[in-house]
Amino acid sequence: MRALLRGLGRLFTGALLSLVHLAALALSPWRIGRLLRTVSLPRFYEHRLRTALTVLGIALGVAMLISVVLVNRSILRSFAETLDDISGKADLEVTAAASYEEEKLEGIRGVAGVLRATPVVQETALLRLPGAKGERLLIIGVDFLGEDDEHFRRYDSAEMKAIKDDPIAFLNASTHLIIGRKLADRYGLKLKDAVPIQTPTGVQQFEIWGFIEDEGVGRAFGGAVAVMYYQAMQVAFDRGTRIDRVDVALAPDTPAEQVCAAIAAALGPGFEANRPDRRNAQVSQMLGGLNLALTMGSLVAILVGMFLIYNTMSISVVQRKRELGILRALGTTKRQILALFTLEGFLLGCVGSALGVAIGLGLARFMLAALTASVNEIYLQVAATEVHVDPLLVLAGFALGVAGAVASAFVPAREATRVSAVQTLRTGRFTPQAPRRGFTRADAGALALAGAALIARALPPIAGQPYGPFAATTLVLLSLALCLPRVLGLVRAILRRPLEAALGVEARLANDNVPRDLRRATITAGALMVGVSLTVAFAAFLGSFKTSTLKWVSQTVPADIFVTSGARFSGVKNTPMADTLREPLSAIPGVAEVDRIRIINIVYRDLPIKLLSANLEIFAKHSQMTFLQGDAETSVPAVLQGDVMVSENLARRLDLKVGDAIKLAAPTGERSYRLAGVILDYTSDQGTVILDRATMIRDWNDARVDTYELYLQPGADPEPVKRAIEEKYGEALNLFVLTQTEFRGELEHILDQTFAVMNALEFVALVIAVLGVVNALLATVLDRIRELGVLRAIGMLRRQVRRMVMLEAGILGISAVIAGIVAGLVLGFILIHDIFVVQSGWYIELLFPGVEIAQVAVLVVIVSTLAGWYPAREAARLNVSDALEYE
Amino acid sequence: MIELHRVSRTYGEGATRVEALVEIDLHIPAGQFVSIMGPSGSGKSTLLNLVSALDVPTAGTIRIDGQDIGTLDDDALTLFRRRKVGLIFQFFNLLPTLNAADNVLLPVMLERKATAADRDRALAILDSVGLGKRAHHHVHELSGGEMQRVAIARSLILEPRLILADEPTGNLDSATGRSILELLKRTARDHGTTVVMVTHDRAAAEAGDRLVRLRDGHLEGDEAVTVPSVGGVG
Repeated sequence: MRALLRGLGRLFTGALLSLVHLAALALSPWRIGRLLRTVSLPRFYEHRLRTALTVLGIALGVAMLISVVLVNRSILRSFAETLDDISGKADLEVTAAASYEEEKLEGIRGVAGVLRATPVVQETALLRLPGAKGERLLIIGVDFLGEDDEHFRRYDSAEMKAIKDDPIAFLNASTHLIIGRKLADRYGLKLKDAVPIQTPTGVQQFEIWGFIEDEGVGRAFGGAVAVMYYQAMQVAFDRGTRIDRVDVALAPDTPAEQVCAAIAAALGPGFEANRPDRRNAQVSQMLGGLNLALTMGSLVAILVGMFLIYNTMSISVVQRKRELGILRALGTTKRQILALFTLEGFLLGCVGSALGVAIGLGLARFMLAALTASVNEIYLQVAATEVHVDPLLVLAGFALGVAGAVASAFVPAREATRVSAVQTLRTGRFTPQAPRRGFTRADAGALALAGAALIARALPPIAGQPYGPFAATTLVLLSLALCLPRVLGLVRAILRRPLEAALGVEARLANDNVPRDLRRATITAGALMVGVSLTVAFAAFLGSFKTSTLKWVSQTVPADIFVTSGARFSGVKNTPMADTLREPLSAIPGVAEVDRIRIINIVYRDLPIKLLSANLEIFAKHSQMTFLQGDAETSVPAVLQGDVMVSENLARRLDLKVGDAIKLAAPTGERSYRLAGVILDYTSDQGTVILDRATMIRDWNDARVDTYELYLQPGADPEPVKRAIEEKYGEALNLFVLTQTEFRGELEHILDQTFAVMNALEFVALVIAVLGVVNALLATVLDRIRELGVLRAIGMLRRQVRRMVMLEAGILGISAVIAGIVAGLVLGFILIHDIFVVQSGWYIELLFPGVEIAQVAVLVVIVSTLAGWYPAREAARLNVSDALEYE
Repeated sequence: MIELHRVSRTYGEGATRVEALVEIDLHIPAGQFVSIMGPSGSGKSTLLNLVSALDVPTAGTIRIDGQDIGTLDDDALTLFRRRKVGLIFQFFNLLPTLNAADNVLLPVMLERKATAADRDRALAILDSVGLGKRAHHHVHELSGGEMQRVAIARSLILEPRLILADEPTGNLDSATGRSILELLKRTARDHGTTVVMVTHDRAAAEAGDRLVRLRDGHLEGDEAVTVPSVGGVG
C-alpha cells in the first residue's frame, strides 16, 4: 500500500514536472527561455515535491473559482433556457403580482399593436411514478387549440395533428397531457399510459396523449416537461379561472414600449408587460447574494494559493542567493533576473491554472447537483443537469490564476535583483534578525489597512451588492497578516516555558526556530490564518443565522404539527392542497386548532417576494411575534380587518413604515393595503407580506393551503396525532407530517445543505494552507541541514528531530489559529452586519461560535503539526556526516 | 580506549568508487592526545566520522571502550555520541538561537531536563575556558575564538571519555588557534580525556602526544610527538 502511494506520488509529481518542463521548452527560443531551462528547471526538479505542492495549491484555487462560477452560470442558464423554450417567440409577457383572471386576455388582445396573445398556466408538480425519487415535472397549460399559440411555440409531436383534428376527445378530461420524449424514454412510458402526478387534491392519474420531441418546449426543464390544455390544467390544479401570464406577439414595426404602456393602461394598476428576459434578471437578483458569496469564497482560495506561490518564490530566492551571485558575476543583468523569477511564477501559474481548469471542470459537475438542490429547496425550481462550459469564463479563471502567480512571484523576484554578487559569493554566517522593537512599518501598514477596512465597510452598496464590506474583509485579512509577526512573538513567549517543561529541549528549539525566517513563518501562518478565519466567520454566521431562525420558529411558528404535501416545507417544492383537510384534521383526538398557511410568490416593486396568509386570530394566539414596528395589540386587529404586516427585511429594503400603503396587483385588481406592523420573519430572504386568510381569499381568489399548522391540546402527545394523519391521508395526498422538533431539524438540515458549498470552500482554503506548511517546513529543513547535522552529531535522536520539526509546525498552527479566530470574528461581524443585512435585509445577532472555534482550533493545530511530519521525517533521515559538510 | 581493526570505508560504486580508508589498524589508549594529519582526501575526516559513530565502516571493526560500535543501531549510536563523545567542529557549529551557556547545556538538555546544578556546571566550564563573563551572550555576539571555546565547553559538559575535534583551529587566526590548542591539551590532561584531533596543519598537530599520518586512505606514519611546544597555527 505504501509502495503504491509512493508510486502514485512520484507519478503525480513527475507528471507535474513534465508539464512545467514542456512549458519551459516552449519558451526556449528566447534567451530568457534558455536561462529558464538551464537555471530554473533543475531547481524545480531538485525540489520536486515543493514544486508539485505549489502547482497543486494554485490548481486548487483556480479549480474552486472555475467550478463555482460555472455552476452559478449553469443554474442561471438552465433557468433562462427553460424560459426561452417556454416563452418561444413572445415579444412581451403580461404579468401581475401573482396569477390573474383569464378574462384579462380579451383586454390585452384589444390593445393596438398586439398581433397575438395567448394564456399560459404553469406548475411544477411532483411526479409519483415508481422510482421517480422526488423528480418534478414542469407542466405548461397553453391554448394549443387556439390559433395564437401556434405563433409562439412549436410542439414537435407526431400526435399533435391527431389531437388538433379531433380536439373534443382530448378536451374530454382534465387529465390528458402530452409529455417530453426524454422523460417518457427514461421511465418507459407509452401512449395512453397513466402518469401519477401530485395535485392540490391529491395524486391524480394523467393520461399520455402524445410526446414532444427534445426541441423547443420539449427541452425545457431538462426535458421533464408536460403540456396540457390550459383550462384542463386549471381544473386539475384547482386554479379556478386564473392564468399565470399572457404571451404577446407584436405587430411588425410596433414599438414595444408603446404597447407595454397601452397594456398597463388597459388592464389597470398592478399589471405589467415586459420582455420575457426580465424574469432572468429577477432570478439573477434572487440568486445574487448566493453567487457573490460563493465567488468571494473561491477568490479567497486563490488568495491562499497566492500565499503559497509567494512563499515558494521567496524561499527559492533565499536558497539560490549563491547561484544568483554567480549569475550576476557572470554578467546576467538585473532585468534578466527579474524576468527569470517572474517567468518562473508565470510558468508555475500556467501549469497550476491549467490543472485547475481540468479539476474545476470535473468539480463543477459534482457541485452542480448540490447547488441545484439548494436552489430548488430555497429559491426556485430549476433543472440544471449539465455544466455549461463558457470558454471565456474558463479563460478568465486561468488568467486570474496565472496573474496571481506572477503577481506573487514579482516581489521575491525584485528581491532577487538586489542580490549582490560579492556578498553572496562569500559563505555567509547566520545572523539572527534583531527582534522588532517599537512601531514598525508592518504595524503602520496593519493600522492603515484596518482604517481602510473601516472605510470600505461603510461604503454604500453598488447595484444592491455590498462590494465595500466585501473589500473590507480582504483588508482585514491583510491587516491581520501584517500583525502576524507580533502574534508569533506573543505565542512563542507564552508557550516557551510550558512547552519546554512538557516536551523538553525539542520544544524549546522549535520555539526558537520559528522567527528565524520571520517572513516565511508569517506567510505560512498567514495562509493558515485565512483558512481558519473563513471557517470561524462562516461558523459565526451560520450559527447566528441558525439560532435566529430556530428561535423565530419556536417563538413565531410554535405549531405542534406541520402538514404539507409534496415536500417537507411549504415554499418552492411543495404542492398546495385544496382546503379540504381542516375539518378532518380538527376531528383527530388531541388536536385543538388548525391554522391554514398559504404562501404565494408575488412581485412587489421588482422584488420576487412571498405573500403569506394565515388565520391571524389563531396565529396571534399562539405566536409571540417580534415586532420591529407596531405591536400585537394594534397590528393584529388591523390585519384581521384587511391590513398587512411585512417582514423586517422587506421593510428595511424598501424603507417601509407603519401606515404606508402597500399596493399589490391581486387577481381581482390592484389592492392597496395599509402597513400595520413590521415583524421578524425568515420566510423569504427577499421579503414577505403577511395578511389574514380571509383577505387572501377575498382579494387573491386563493383558498389553497400550503401548510396545515396544528396546535394540540395541552399535554397531548404529537406522535399519535402524526401517525393518525399519515395513516388516513398520507398516501393519497403525499403528505409530510412533521412535529415541531422534526420541523426544526429539517430547517437546520436545509440551512446546512445550503451552506455546504461554503464549507467546501473553507476546506479547500485550509488544504492549500496546509500545503503551504509542508512547503515552508521542507524549505526550513533544507536551510538548516548543517545545523540538524550538528544536533544529530551531539546526540539528538531521530525522534527528537522529528518532534522538533513537527512542533515548529504546531507553533505556526497555534499562531495562525489565534490570528485566524480574531480575523474570523471580525469577518463574521462584517458578514452579518454589513453584507448579510444588505443582501437579505435581515439583521441577526452575532453569536460567538465557541464550539466551532474549539473544533477548528484543535483540528488546525493537529493538522498543521501533522503537516510537519513529512519535512520532519526528511530531517530525521539526514545522513549526519553529509549534513555536517553541507554548505 | 579506541581500537580500529582492518577498518575500510569506500564510497560509491563502479567507476565512481572511492576508497577513503583502507584496512586501517589503530590503537589509541585512554588519556592520549592524538593528532591525525594528512593532505586533503587522505581520509582523516572519514576516520574521525567513523570513530565518532557518525558513519559506519564498510569493513573491519571499531571498538571504543570495548564496545563494537558496528553492532549498535542508530539510537544507540546517537546515545553513544551524546554520552561518550565530545565533538568539536571547524565551523564551531553552535546553535544560533541559544546563548553561550545554553549551547553548552544542549547535550544535557537532550539527555534530560537541565537542573540548576547542570547550569552551574555549564557556567563553571565556560569560566574555565575563559568565557565566564560571556555566558549569556548570543552566538552572533561572540568572536570566532570565543565560539570555538563555547564548542569545547559543550563537548565537555557530559564529561565524555573521548573528544573528537575536526580542524578546530582551521577557521581561526594563529594566536586564537594556539590558545584553543592549549585549552584542548589542558582539558585532556585535567580530565584524563582521550582527544583525537584532525588537522592539516603540522604545527597544530604537534600539540598532541602522538601524530598519525594518513595518505590516500592508508596509514602513512604513527609517531610520538617530540616537540612539546605549540607552534604557529592557522
